[in-house]
Amino acid sequence: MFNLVLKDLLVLKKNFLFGIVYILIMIVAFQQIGGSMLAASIVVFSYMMVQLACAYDEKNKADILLNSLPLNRSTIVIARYISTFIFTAISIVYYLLLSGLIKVLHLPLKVYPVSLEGILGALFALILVCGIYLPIFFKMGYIKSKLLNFVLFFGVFFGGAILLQELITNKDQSTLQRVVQFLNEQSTMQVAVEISAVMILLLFISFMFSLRNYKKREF
Amino acid sequence: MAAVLEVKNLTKKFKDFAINDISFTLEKGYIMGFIGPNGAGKSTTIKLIMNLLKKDDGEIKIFGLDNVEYEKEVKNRIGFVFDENYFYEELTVMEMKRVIAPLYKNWNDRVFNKYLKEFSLPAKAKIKELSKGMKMKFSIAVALSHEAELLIMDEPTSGLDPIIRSELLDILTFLIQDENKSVFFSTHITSDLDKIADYITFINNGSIVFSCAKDDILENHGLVKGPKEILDADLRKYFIGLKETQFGFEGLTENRQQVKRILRDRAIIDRPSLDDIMLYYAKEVQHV
Repeated sequence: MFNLVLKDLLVLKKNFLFGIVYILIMIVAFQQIGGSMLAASIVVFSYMMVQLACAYDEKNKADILLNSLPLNRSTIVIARYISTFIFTAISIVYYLLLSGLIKVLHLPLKVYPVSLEGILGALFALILVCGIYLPIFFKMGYIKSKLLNFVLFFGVFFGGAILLQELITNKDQSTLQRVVQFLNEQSTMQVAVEISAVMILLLFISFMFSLRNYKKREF
Repeated sequence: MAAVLEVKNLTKKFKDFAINDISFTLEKGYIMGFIGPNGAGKSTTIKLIMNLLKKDDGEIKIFGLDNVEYEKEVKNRIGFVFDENYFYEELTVMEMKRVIAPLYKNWNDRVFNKYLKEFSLPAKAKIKELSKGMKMKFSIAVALSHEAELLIMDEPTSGLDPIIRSELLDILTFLIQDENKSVFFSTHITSDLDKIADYITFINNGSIVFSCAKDDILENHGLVKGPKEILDADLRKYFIGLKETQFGFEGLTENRQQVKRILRDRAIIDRPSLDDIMLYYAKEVQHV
């Protein structure tokens, strides 16, 4: 399974080199969104890498190769989910490096520190986007799932990431009063645990759909 | 003798094409050529064997094991070479090997490096920089580096120049000296099989026309050439297909000895090539 993750990293290695530039562009572009900058950068970068990994698979007709090797289809599906989280980890490292550099060099750019809330918000949005996208990708492949990708990227990303960040950090200003009230009554830790539980559930449901779809695929 | 590949009553239906109830068996230590015109169902059958397509009905056993139930185990013992490159073009030869090698239980780096050297494959070159012949050689190097007992090859020679094709056939001839190895080789270039195949399975329009020893096929079939006046209704029954001109005819029979007895020296009976056989059978089906 880790060979497949390694394969994603090797195939995308050029993109990772440019990745640090992507994150810098995002920091510049997201100057106005405040504390959501971290979440937005992580989600955009990770989702872009997932998209690229899927696109390279399609371009190389990788399903034929992978399914001719001694691999279970479940391994192929799990590997793509693990790759997604590796991309997230890389984006956090890039963000840390850049935000440190911006501070040290006193560049005229606002950067916000890496926080647990920010990472959780990013993970939630990413799991939501990838959780919807990957089952469709495993059913139809990259080209046919492109339209959905477009809708998800602009819809859920802009809506989801910001909304969740707001929900966690600025509880009073949120419009989702009932949810906020519920969250307000609990400690940050409790909220984090609850959100993590929802994320794991979403991830599990998404994985089961991906697996079901991929097992039925013909190449 | 142990069957390495056993296909029984295999059926797969598509909207405009079907594999109809096909059966054949490849035994250990032999090369089976899988021939047929383009679109006859060769690649579809291979995809069914590799479980890239789901069968509608029938049975596929590899090393006596069901190809779906024991998929991982079976694929550990198979080497595959396909008609086009399915490796990641962005990776180098060594990077691709690094990804693939740990997936096989019996991967042997020493053997792989030996083939790299033998095929003059540049280890650091990206796969997209390799020529078609080199890509095919890389596929072969991968297929031969994990002690595969069965090689499944789908049109490996298509689009290759005669020199590389001949090299490939030499490798297969050498490989088959090990009695534990078997090869299932699909092609529409039948001359490749004249030299190396032990058995021929001929598929046309999704159905198996025959599956037998190559020598028997070439022995039993005859290419008959003679004057038109001897071609009466009784004689016509012996032909799979006929080409008639103003003066004479040429036809393929699967009962060479019988036709020889009937015609004696009134016609010439030649040994057909696999190409002749494929041509006449394919035409016959089209006429029906």
